[in-house]
Order: sequence, then structure tokens, then C-alpha cells
Amino acid sequence: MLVTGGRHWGGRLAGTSDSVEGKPAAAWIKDMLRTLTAMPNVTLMTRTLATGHFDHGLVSLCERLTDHVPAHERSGPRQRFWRVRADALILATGAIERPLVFRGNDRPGVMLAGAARAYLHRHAVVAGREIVVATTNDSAWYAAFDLAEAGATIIAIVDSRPSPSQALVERAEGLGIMVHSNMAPAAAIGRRAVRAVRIGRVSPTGNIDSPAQAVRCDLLLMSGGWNPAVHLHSQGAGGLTFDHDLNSFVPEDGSPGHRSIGGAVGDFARYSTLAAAREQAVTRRPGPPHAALWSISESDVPDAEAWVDFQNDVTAGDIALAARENFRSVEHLKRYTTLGMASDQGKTSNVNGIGILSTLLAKPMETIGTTKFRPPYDPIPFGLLAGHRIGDGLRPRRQLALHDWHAGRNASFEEYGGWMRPAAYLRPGESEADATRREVLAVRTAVGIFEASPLGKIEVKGPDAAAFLDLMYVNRISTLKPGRCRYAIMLSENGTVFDDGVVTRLADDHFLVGTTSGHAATVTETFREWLQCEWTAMRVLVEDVTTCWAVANVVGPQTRSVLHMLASDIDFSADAFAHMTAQRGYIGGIPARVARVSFTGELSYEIAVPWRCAGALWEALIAAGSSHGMVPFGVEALMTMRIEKGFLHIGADTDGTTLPQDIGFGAIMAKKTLDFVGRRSAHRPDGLRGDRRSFVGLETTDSNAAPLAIGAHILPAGTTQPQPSEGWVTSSAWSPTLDAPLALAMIERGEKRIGEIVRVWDLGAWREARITRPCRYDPQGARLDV
Amino acid sequence: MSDTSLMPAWCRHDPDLAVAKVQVYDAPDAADRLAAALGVHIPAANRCAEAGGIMLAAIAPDEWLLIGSADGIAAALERTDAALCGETILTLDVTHGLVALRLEGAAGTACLAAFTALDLRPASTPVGAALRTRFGDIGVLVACTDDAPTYLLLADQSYTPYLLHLISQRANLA
Repeated sequence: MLVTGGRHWGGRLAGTSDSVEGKPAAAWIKDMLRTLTAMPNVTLMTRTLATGHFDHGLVSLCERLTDHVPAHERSGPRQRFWRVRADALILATGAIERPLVFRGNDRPGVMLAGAARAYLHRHAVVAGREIVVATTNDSAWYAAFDLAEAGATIIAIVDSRPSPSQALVERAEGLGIMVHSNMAPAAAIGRRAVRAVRIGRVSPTGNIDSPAQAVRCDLLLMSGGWNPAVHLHSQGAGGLTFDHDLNSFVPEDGSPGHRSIGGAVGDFARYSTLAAAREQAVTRRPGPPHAALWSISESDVPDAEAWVDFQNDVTAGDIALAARENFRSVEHLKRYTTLGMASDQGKTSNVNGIGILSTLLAKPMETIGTTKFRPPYDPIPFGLLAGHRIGDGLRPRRQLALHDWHAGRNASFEEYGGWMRPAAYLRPGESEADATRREVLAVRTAVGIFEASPLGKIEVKGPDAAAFLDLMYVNRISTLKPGRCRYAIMLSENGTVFDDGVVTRLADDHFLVGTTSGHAATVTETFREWLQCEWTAMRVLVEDVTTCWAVANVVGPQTRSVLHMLASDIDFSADAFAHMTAQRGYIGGIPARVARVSFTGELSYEIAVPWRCAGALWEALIAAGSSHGMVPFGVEALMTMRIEKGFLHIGADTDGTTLPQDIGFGAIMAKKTLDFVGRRSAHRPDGLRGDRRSFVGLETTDSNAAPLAIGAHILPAGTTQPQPSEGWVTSSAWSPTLDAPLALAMIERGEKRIGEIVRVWDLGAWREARITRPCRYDPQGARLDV
Repeated sequence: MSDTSLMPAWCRHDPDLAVAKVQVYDAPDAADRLAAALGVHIPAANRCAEAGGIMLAAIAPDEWLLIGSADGIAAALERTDAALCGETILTLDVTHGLVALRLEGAAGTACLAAFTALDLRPASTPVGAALRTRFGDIGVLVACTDDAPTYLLLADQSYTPYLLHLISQRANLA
């Protein structure tokens, strides 16, 4: 696989009149491509940049598919992300030219000599008409020659070296180019564009030590040498060493799994680069040294208007300030100045910055070192990393066992805790509110059926299972008898309410723990974490079996009549099957776990069967229920009924600050003598404050029939001035059963203020309500006790 | 179960595969007893072994998956319960909680490579590897079952529509 970030092959060679192995560059590149294309095991990719190099030869590639196409002509993805695992990796990443650091080097019209050469060769663009070239090395001379031959006027070449190559000088003179050796640019002149450059004699440390002269130009090209692009090498755990000829960092030999060649190791000779690629032994002839000229200044301190990092606006003066402030580590320098932090990650600035610091501290660059080379090498779009996470792939959504059945009954699906569930089943002409009202009344007066498969189910087994669950729940679990169920709440280590559910004891050493629909995996992981990290001696094993079992919840006063019609060995009668108990048996030949529990306040059985048997159970129930007016009901009806009953919904009525005593579990906590997770935290001074919010109901006392908005703030009656909120509405619905709006709320000292009238700031309007007990329907539980 | 009929040829739904999970608490010889009961040598961590139609995958310390036909798994669970009688064990048939897909050939491999972080080169994922990883944004088990190569992918069945969405995306790209 051969990849290049650009649209063409050949790097800087492309478009030049140079020759390679006796052929013109263009012909050599064409021949090579022809050979490679004919190889069936070679993949060639242009516009594909290697952006990161990770462990075990993993390389990330950003393939730009249509970025270059005009927007109105684009179709399909713009980029594609590749993860490539390479057994062998050759990094021919080239080198990056160093800018010169002098006053005004950020003016429009000042650019790198290599960039001007690339514009010329790749795009046939001559970047200026009257050009001055300032350099410390040979490469910029060739840019000058190429531009001169393309018709530009090269006013002068300014070289900081006392004696540039005679051959270069003669060629320049042949082209009519004036040469200023041992000189450097002191400042670019011009405000919105460069108009001239002031040059003067320069010392080896960058001081302009002679009166400067101005040279007119509309383009000032600069080159301070070349830094090997060692990013991918370094990301792949390759070490770096300092090359004193290049005055830059180069890869160390012997990096496992990859090797760098060419400019990436500071080898700018074609013959040795090609030989290295072919793994031929070759003696590399070092090129002329790249003199270091880190900062040019007309005073004896780094210039405060000489730019080092063009993206993050860091100047030589900023680096001098950092050194004075004793930020001498390269990592501290980076944080203090932001040098190298921008999206180019210091490609053109880091080595210059380290060089300036080295000079200021009189400390060799190799002992200062570099900052980390983090991927991506070049900025990439977030969309590239998001990849498949669009549309239906945005995040995983789960489907019920009977999804297709619900869809066939015109269910309006919504996402609840990651599950797509029916909010309500709409009949022709019904709104969702109409359907919810109809479903609630049907359940309250006859019977309804609800798919409760997402309810979490965790098997907890072992001789210490009961003791373990005592530690995990506020409620005492160990006193539960086999076949009995108990509602329980679980706290976080901070003492806040984390989850709730019904725990069923299947046997002395075996429990089925119910959780909220969205928390099954998290509760399982929490159990495992405590068992594996804290209570390793407890002989307990846990497994999340939520999606092994589908659940049909049959609810309403006619429920028993429906269940009695099933072919089952389970006796559903009140005497044989009490509230908060569980039984196992068969329904229509299907193994079933049945629990008599209720989240609606009605007679209710939750029937769990193996997931793939859900259809058969459901059809049997629907057939049995048809003569009793049974209707399927959705989550909105369920929520409405639990609000009528004042049942807590974790995550709706609670938040990250709710303690168990806020929701009526204070007495249970006080009674429990055993320790449990969160107990200590729940009793911190803040938890014992007398003015904590508590869970209550609200009934509106104004003439407005609309339910209160969830989140509406509660204030004392008669409030006219702004003051802190005393709480807010946590759940709200129109109650078809009571024919009135109902709400639940968390209100300061709420449980001691039952009957008090409060004001409610409801979507920009004042309303009035009375604080009530949470339960507004069948407070004695008579409908359950049947 | 979502409609799996639209899957590409290199992705096959295996609806008859049964899976059970065995966990054991602190029984140093549990692996040997399990091996003897099932007639399978106990694989190393993140590897699987097969004998007599039962594949045994070591997915965590003292935690194994048994994979095979429904009858085979039922019998294997009985033998496991008998062999580890007296120990703290949890043996569960989790077939109904899982969907089993087989990704085959170069296209199946490319699909796995696209949606998991696995290094699928044979040196890292040889035949017999059984690895827990992420496919897209969900947890899965991937086992390399032959050198075609074929990969068995087990995932929570409630995510089947999501899995099929990703796989069809991949198929449309190919």
C-alpha cells in the first residue's frame, strides 16, 4: 500500500526539471506508477494522509474522497477513515522547511521558499513579481533559480552564510541575481503586504550588527533549513536524536516495525533515498550543513515582533519572557506560551522555538528535547472519526421482543433508556394524549397488557448472595423468604439514589434482581466491581439476563380472569398467589417466571418467558383477554398511572443530589442496622439539613386545567419578588382516572407542608397549587389487595 | 428478531446456535473438572476449543461460554452442574439473549476490521481466538472458527437492528 496526502505522486520532485536515475523526474514518476499499478498486490491511494501511527503497526489514514470537488457536485461521503495494520512500514514523510524568525515575518508576502517552489511546479503560479530570497541553506537558491527561469524578477538572494557555494553564486550571477552573503533580513517592511525588506550583516547568533539597508520586493521568500517530519516515527515509539549538521531532530536507528527514509531522516539526496528504500547498502554523503539561525534581531534580545508560531501568535520575545520566568522545560515552555499548540502542532515552529530557548539558556537542544508528537499529524474532520455514527448508527437502540407486533398496532415509538418502546397505540383520529387517556381508563376498569421486557434482570447466586445484596441495597434483603419479592433502592457511593427495582428470592442462595430499564448493565457492572475489588471473599456470582427473558405485564381488575383462561400449572388466585410474591411454572407449555408486582396500583402480574417465546405467550394473552376488553398500553399510560399512585421514577423524580431520606426512605435506613453502600454519605451534614427537598404531590388549585410543566419552579404563596426556588415539578400528567392534572415534585420540607398552597412559575406564568401526599389514587391499596 | 434476510452473502445468521455461560467462584481445579466433564481441553484466556460439537471459550477468569446445538448445550450444562457440584457456580443458558452471526471471507473480515479495534492478522487473531470487544458501539464476542476465515459474532439480540444497520452499511460500500 502506497499512500500520499496530496493529489499527485512524487512529492516535491513532481513538476521540477530535476532528473532521477537518468530520467526526467516526470518520466521516472510515470514509469514507477505504471510498474506499481500493474502489481496486483499493490494499492495506490492519493489524497490519503497517514494521520497517526500506533502500536503493532496500526496506521490511521484519512482518505479525502470529495473534499476537492465543488460543493454542488459532491455526492457520497467526503472522507473515509482507514485503519491499516502493516507488518512493515516505510515512512517517507519528507521534511518541513523552517521559517526565519525576524521582525515582521508574518506580513502577507513573506512565505517559505519551498512553498513558492511548490506553487510554481504544482500549480504554475509565480507567487510574486519582485522577489527577495533570504536563506541559511542551499535549497532556497533553487527556488530562486526556478522562479527566475519562470519569469519572475529575483531582486536578491540574502544568505546568512559568509561563503555560500561558489557554483550557486555563479549561477545566480548568470541569472542577474544580486547575492548578499553573511546577511539576513532584519525586518519586513509594509503593513498589509510586504513592500521591502531591511537586511544587514548578521552574527552567528542572529544579531544584525551593521546598519541595515532596505531592498524593495513584493515577495520575500525565506528558508531557515529543514526539519525531518518525524511525527509518525515518534508516535510509533521511535526515538529521536539530534543531528548537528541539520540542527534538527532525526529518527534513531533500529525502531521496531518501521523505518524512515529520505527527508524524514534528513537525507535529501535521491540516490541514497532510493537505495535506502530498496534496502541497499549505501554510504550517505552528508549534504552541506544547515546553519542554525534561530532568531534574528536588531537588538541583543529576541525580537518581540518576530513570529515563531504563526498559528498561535508566539513570538521570539514570548519565548524570552518564558525563559526569564524560569519555564525552562520544553513542556513548560509550550504551556506558558502555547508554542506548538495550534492545529499545525508546531510543524513550522517547534524546532525554532527550542533553538531560541537553547540559545537563551546556553543549553544544547538535544538536552532540551521535544514535546510529544500527538496524532493526528494534520487536522481531520470530527466526522471522519464519528464514521458510522450517523442516522440509525448514531447510537445503538434496542428493540423489544414484540417490536413488529407493536408496530402493526400503530404504536408510536419513542426511545426510553436506549429502548424503542411504544409510547401509546394510536387508533384512527387519536392523538397520543387521546390514546393514553383511553389506555389508562381501560386498565383501570378492565385489563391491559404492556411489554416490560427491558426491565433489568440480574441473576445473583451464591452462599453470600443475601449478605451481598444487603450491602448493595438500602432495604434488608436477607430477611426475604424464597418466593417473595421486595421493592428496594440502591445508592451510589455518594449516598444519592442510583436505582430501584424489585428483588425476588428464587432460593436461599439465588436472587433475581430487578433494575430500571436503562440501568441493567450499569448495576451488573457495579455489582461486579464491588465483588472483584472490595468484597473478594464473598462467594457470589452475577449475570445480566435482561434480554434472555421477555416480559408481558398484565394489569387491571380483570387480570385474573384473563390468566385463568391460560393453560398453566400456576394458580393465579389471590390465595395462592399473593401480592409481592413470585412463582415458576408453565404457560401454554412455555417455561415462565411470574411475579405479582405492580407499578400502576392495579392487580398486576409480570410474566417472563424466554425471549423467543414472547410471541406465543403474547398471542395467548391477547386471545384470552379479547373477551375482557384487554388493550395494549404504552409507556405514557404506565407513567400516568404511576403518577396517580405517587410511585417514584428514578431519574425523573430524582437527580444526582437526591438522598434516600428525600424520598421517604429515612425510616428504613434508620431501622436497618447493617451497613450498605452509600449509607455514610447519605448521613453527611448536608443530608441531615432540615430544609432538604422531599418528594410530594401537587394538585393545581387554579382554573387552568393544563398539567404543570415538568421543571416548573415552586415558590411560597404570595411571592411577588424574585427569590430562590423551593423546588420543582418532577413528573406531571393529566389523570384520566381523577379527571384532573396531577404532578409530583421535590419541594423544600415538602413532607411537613402537606396542604400548603404554593405558587408555581410555569412556563412564564404564575399558577397556584396545593402540596399533597404523593399518592392520589387508592391510597389504601385496596385495588392491589384483591 | 429483525429481518436478517437482507444480509449480504458473507454474513450468515445462525438461529440454531445455543449458548450457555458458566461462572465458577474460587475453585482452583474447576477448569480441569470442566474439561473432564465436557471432553474438551480448557483453552487459554481469549481462546476457544472444540470437541464433540461443543465449543468452549474462555472469556474471563473462571468464566466460560459453551456454544453448540440446543441439545448439546443442555447436556453440557447438566454435565457441568454435576462436575462442579458443591462449588459456587452459576450456569445459565443465555441463548435467548444473544444473536449469532457468522462473518465469512475477505468481506466479512473487512466488516469486522471496520467496526472493531481487533488486529485480525493471523498472528494476533488466529483460528481459535475468542475475544470480547466492541462492534460499533456495542459489546460482542468474536471467535475465529476457521481459516476461511470465518468469525462467529455473538451480541445481545436486542441490538440486532443496529448490527444489521452497520453490516448493511458495510455491504453497500463494498
